[in-house]
Amino acid sequence: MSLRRVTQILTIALIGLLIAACSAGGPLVKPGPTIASGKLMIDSQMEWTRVYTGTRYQLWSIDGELLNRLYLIQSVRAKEFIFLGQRQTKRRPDGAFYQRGLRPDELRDLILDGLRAAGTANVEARNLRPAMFGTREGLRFEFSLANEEGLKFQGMAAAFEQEKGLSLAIFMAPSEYYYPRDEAKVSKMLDTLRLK
Amino acid sequence: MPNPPRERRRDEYRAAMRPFMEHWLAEELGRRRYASSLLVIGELLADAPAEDHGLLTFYLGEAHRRRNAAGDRAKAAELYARAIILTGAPAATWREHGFALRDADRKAEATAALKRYLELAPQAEDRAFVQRALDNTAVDTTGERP
Repeated sequence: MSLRRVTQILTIALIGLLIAACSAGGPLVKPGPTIASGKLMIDSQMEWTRVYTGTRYQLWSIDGELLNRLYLIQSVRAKEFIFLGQRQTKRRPDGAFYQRGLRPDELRDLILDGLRAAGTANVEARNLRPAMFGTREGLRFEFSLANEEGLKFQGMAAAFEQEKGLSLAIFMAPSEYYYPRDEAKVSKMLDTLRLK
Repeated sequence: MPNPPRERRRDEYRAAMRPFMEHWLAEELGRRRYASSLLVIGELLADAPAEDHGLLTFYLGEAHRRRNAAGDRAKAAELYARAIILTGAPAATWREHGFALRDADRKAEATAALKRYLELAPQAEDRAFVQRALDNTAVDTTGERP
């Protein structure tokens, strides 16, 4: 193979890599029913990119995770941190750890405290309300917060208890432009959250 | 000749801070470091004027309820019962007092307390859930199940 041919192949490969690096990456979510994580299902209203696909949760975004993110957690188990990771222990008794049988306002506070523990500030919730997810009762609410740099975000949460723990969906995006743009569609999506 | 006061303009300072107290106390509990919260709120309460006793007693109860270690629920129930007769207790005191009474199977008193909460906070964002709890508690004022 000539040097010129090798250079051509390397150039094409490099361009391909650059294009891949510019996209958000991950398999595309298309509108319609889709697996949100494990047995958790949701009817998507628009296209998303799966930024992270794990066995316990998925992270979706439209424009990149700094501009909008949707966490979909199939199941937070008892004594687990509300956004997974740490577990409650005797040496670490306090924290945003999920327990079964919490009241809806306690679940809301747990989610808000988890957001605080993640480094956000001025966390406030509104419009806590009952909601049905398939055949299961749960809750929904909206919230606002500021990230560590002071950028204001708005978000919405949906959660319901099931046999293995708490199923949870959290969407957040900057208050400026991105949240209002997608608010109605994402809200409709969260209403379709269910276990298959 | 008497000693001059140790703290100057304390009352004005407290009056200026009072509108923010509830938000700060809620944020303090949001840290979920209950041992330090109990210490801080306890010290504030010990030094507070009467008009702040209701608020601080309620949040002391909240710290116990949220920590939920052995004996905390009973301690919280006791503090809510104390707070409702003190000046400055927020409407949520009646809600928590109501839930504590419900858990103690004192349903008629629980119903009255939860109703009082909804009267005091008609726009409460958790109204739907409290109303449902009230419906499930479902006793008339004589304590008889319908």
